[in-house]
Amino acid sequence: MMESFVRNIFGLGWDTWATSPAVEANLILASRVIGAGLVLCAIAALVTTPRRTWTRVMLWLGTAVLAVVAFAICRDKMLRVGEFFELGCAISAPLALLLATRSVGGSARLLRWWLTVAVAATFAAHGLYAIGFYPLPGEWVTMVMTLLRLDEPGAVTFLFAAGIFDFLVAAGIIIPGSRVPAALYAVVWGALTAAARLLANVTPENFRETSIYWIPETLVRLPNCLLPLVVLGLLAYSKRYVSSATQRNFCQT
Amino acid sequence: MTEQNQTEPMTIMLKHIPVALAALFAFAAPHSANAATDYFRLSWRADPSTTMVVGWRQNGGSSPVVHYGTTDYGTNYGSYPLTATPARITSAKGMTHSFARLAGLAPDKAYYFVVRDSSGTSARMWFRTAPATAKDLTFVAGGDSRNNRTPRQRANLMVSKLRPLFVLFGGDYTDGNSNTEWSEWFTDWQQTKSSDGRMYPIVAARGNHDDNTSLVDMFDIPSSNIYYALNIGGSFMRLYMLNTEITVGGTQDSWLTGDLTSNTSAKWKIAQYHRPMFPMNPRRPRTLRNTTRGPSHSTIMR
Repeated sequence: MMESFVRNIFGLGWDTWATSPAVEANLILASRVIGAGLVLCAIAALVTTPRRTWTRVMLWLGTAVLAVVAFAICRDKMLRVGEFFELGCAISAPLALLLATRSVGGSARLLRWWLTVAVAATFAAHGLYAIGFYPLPGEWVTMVMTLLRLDEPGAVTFLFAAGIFDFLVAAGIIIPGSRVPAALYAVVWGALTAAARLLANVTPENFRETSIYWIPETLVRLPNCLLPLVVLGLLAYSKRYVSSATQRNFCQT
Repeated sequence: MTEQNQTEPMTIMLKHIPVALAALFAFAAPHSANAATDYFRLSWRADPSTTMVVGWRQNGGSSPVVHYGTTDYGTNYGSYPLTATPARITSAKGMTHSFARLAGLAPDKAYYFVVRDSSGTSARMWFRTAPATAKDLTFVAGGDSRNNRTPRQRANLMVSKLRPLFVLFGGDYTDGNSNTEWSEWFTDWQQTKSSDGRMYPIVAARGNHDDNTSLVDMFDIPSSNIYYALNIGGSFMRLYMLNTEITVGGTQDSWLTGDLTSNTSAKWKIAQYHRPMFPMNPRRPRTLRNTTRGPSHSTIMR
């Protein structure tokens, strides 16, 4: 798939691209530059205001980079669409911050809908793996066996049930009347599954080495908990806003 | 002699020419190379010293039969004393795969075979069964042939020159597990065949770019979860093919523990699996995190 892209953009044959030490060195350099850029994005996220243009640019770039990474992962995983949407919350996080720090009112509604779609996509995509539509990841089974002390069939059954709940959340967060409980579940489950990476894989006897790998893996999954939390907050805000507006209208009449 | 009498011998001859031609073609047909079978591969699902799985793509034709024996009769299929029909036929990746499971073979012996179907007869190929006792042997181990076809083809050519007893393949045969890629992979795999027609069994493991079902369909692997073991040379060597894409605990670990316990006589135990316990990439931290993905470290190190 990449052969024509490499030839057209870099003017290199695939053999050269795949075997050249110079190409590999440049790819390593590029990934480090991107890493540094993402660190800048993280800083931008912490200090962004509507008037700090450089932070806005970084957040947009960060969103684009995350989308490209998600596509690359999807491509690597045999173009399984679920792999892309599994990262819906992660990709949406910087964009959500941009929307959230523009102004109140109209942006809040757009923000809530955007995040609702992102959360729904993320949970539905995870559900596809959990129920076995896509091959169930072995490490998920291992984590469940480790943390819940289940045997393999029990862990597979547990994940299947979790996958069903993922679909219920994906639907529930969109349907009026069920958004709040769905978002609440998503917050809790997102937090648990992010923490599971640490709890199941970081060991006291190899704490330094295992935490170096698994702490970032946990941080990457925090949007799966935090974005539903934002949705909850926005639902609560819109209720209070609507309620206040209704009271004002009532008083005026 | 009348004019009619003068032409009669010619008429008779002309009448018999088509029959003669038909007989000639009938005689020639068994030696036709236009068999509808290709993408040959060998594998093991039982004792390598007495069995062999012959697999191929059935690309048309019907009623394939493997004709085989210990004497080389070339493509003269009728001379081979033994036959086997496919024990399993499956459709996968846009191909029809047939697998004939040969059994009752003699250890450390050359077997010659052809596959004949309604379209014709394949080229003559041959293989060697594994020895039943300890003996010097050669095998080739590799994998990850997925994203650069030229080195893959070169590696396959090396197999044909090195003439090992078998090839261990550690997973990631193709990149996207697509029909086209598998077709290309099998095309390239034919390059492992030596110039004298010798073929080499592939002992397959699963990688992260593969799935269980595809590998069972491509290589007739005896385990649907793609973990299994084979003895080579009796108790000389035991090969373990492990699956790092499913949980390394659970049933796989139980099986491995039990198998190691009941096969203590094996002098050499060799495990093949896709994800290394320690990353080969020097930029990644050397961490035992891979024990959550790789085989149970404590089980392997017993």
